[in-house]
Amino acid sequence: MRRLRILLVRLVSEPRSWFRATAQRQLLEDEMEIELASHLENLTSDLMRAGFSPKEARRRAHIALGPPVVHKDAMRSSLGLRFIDDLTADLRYAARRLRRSVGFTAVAAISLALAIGANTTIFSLAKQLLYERLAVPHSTELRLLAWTGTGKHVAVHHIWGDYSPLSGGRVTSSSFSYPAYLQLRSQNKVMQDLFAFKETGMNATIAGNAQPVQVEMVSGNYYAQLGIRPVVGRAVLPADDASPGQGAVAVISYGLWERMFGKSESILGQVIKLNNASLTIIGVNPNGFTGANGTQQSPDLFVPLSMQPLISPHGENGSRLAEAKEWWVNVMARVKPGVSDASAQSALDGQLGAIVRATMPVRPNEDLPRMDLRDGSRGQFYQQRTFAKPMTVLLTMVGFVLLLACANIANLMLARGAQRQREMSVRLALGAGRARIARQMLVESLVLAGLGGAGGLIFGYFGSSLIPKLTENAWERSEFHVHFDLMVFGFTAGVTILTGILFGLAPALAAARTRIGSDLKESSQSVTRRRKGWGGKSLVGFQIALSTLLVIGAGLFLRTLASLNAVDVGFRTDHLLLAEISPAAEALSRGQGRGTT
Amino acid sequence: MDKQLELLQGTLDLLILKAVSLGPLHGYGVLLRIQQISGEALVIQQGSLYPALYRLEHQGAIASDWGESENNRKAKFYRLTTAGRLRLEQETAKWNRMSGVMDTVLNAVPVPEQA
Repeated sequence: MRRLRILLVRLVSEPRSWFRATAQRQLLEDEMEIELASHLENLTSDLMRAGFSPKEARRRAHIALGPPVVHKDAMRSSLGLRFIDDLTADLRYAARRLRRSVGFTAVAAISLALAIGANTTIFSLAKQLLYERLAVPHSTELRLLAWTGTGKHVAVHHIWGDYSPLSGGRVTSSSFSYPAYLQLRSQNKVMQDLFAFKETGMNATIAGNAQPVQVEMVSGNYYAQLGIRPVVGRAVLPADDASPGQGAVAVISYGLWERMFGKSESILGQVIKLNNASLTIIGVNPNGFTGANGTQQSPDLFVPLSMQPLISPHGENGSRLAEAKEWWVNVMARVKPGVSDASAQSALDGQLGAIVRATMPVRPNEDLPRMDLRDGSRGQFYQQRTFAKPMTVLLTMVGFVLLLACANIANLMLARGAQRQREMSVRLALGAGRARIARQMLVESLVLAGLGGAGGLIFGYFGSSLIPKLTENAWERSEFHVHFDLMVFGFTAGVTILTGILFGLAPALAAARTRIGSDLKESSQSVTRRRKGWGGKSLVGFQIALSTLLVIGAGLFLRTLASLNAVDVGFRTDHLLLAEISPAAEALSRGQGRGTT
Repeated sequence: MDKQLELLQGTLDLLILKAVSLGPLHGYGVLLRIQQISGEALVIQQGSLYPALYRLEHQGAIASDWGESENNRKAKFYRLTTAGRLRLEQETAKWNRMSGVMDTVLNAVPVPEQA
């Protein structure tokens, strides 16, 4: 009990005393001076009273007290000031050393900064493209319904949506017919409520401006199932989606709200035209929500699927909603607790087979689509098909750059450490502690790494905003943003900086281990002495190998790019404009091909 | 033979606590009081006194105020805090136990074997 109380008092008292000492440093120094001086004075006068001459008394008092500088140092370390004092001294010394070898500092810091910056940018991009999930609560519960079939014989013939070959002559698609969706939904017992959506491009007239927009047609339960609540107004509800051609409402994306309406609250009730149908704005999606289709860009408008016959007419009577042969909507659902994906898939598969048989003509040689339950946490995940390979190449390249930068830094630090072995020996001979020398080197490496890290932060930040600009072209508005990813930055910065510290420290420790005298002698005898050990040599080899790889890779890339730019297309490409027209769907007479370039 | 004793490791803190428990003192006063109550038998490295005082104050066992010394100079007076008093009691008890044990050990005599 008593011991605890003493400990508690110490715990409160020590930080307070430390802060006071640090904050009022000059006062502390003055007080120490006064205290020691008055001690000396008291002692001297006592000695004089004992019969010594003033001069002798002063001499004896000085001897008795000892050197004040040493005492003051001990007093400071009593207050816990030793560490911070040493650190300031180390920092000052490190700054001086780095300033003196500007070349070394610049090369090391810039290579660190470039490596960290480039890697942060590319890794952030990759992470965003390939690993980002939909911005909805519990996105990992989402499953995307899809099917597979044999390429030539599957009963599904009309697909509006994704369709891609698998190995072994099979094909896959995540498009379903609307009747199939409705029946699957009503029969479903193995997942939470199924919801449907379809994203497509349309023409809209918003606030008097005609513009191409991306539209996601959604089922009435879409918002409830995703768990998304609009920031303004209300969501699309089951009542909006109740009967075909009804429910002329739209929820707009946060981006569109910002861009076209200046985030005005009075947009609710405003009417926009979408492919000649008039829709009333009822709400605004939260920022960052990108719809269920993908993670990269949000569609501008979210409208009920029941509006399809009016805004995206097709075929004889315009409606796809009753067509069992037309496969076009995407279907998603959340998993039901306690039901495994495999059992859900087999249950849905049975239902799908029965539905296809019941609603569509299936010829004898045709096979039924088989249900394939996919991870839906990233929407349709188109970007994997498009970017997985290029990103792998890019990631490997920047990985090598990172490795090269690490080797670079390692070698620089090693060379520098070897260069300074003599200095270390001298300092050891003068009585510096080995731990103290190691700390000095550590501080120096850290200062250098800090410079590189700060540079990397700047490069990484600007790199992240540069990439979207590179992908821009004249007729497509790019809303694609690479978020600067702090976690990625932390990783790359951590790796490179750790390398710097490790290899900065190694030679210092080696120097500290060697016997003082021998090293002093050896380095004084031969100025151009062979470097000991294989570490440096193998590092250089490694560096050259990596650099060769990178230079060849970069050369190939550039050459390809240059040749692509110089391809002869057979006509003069200067003074040419490219225009795109997408006419309103119902403006064309039936039987004619619809809105294409 | 009244040769002066070197201080045992770790006993300076206890001596300082004891000295200031008798009333506030400045640094030189602490030295004088320890010498006085020990009958001039202990040698204190005068330089090690101040680091010890600073350490004890840092730990909250003693507190200090600036005041006037006997010769009307500005001086820093140390006094015992409540925590310091607790610590003094604790360390005194520990010391007494230690010296008791040492006493017993060193006064042990061989037990005559019984035939």
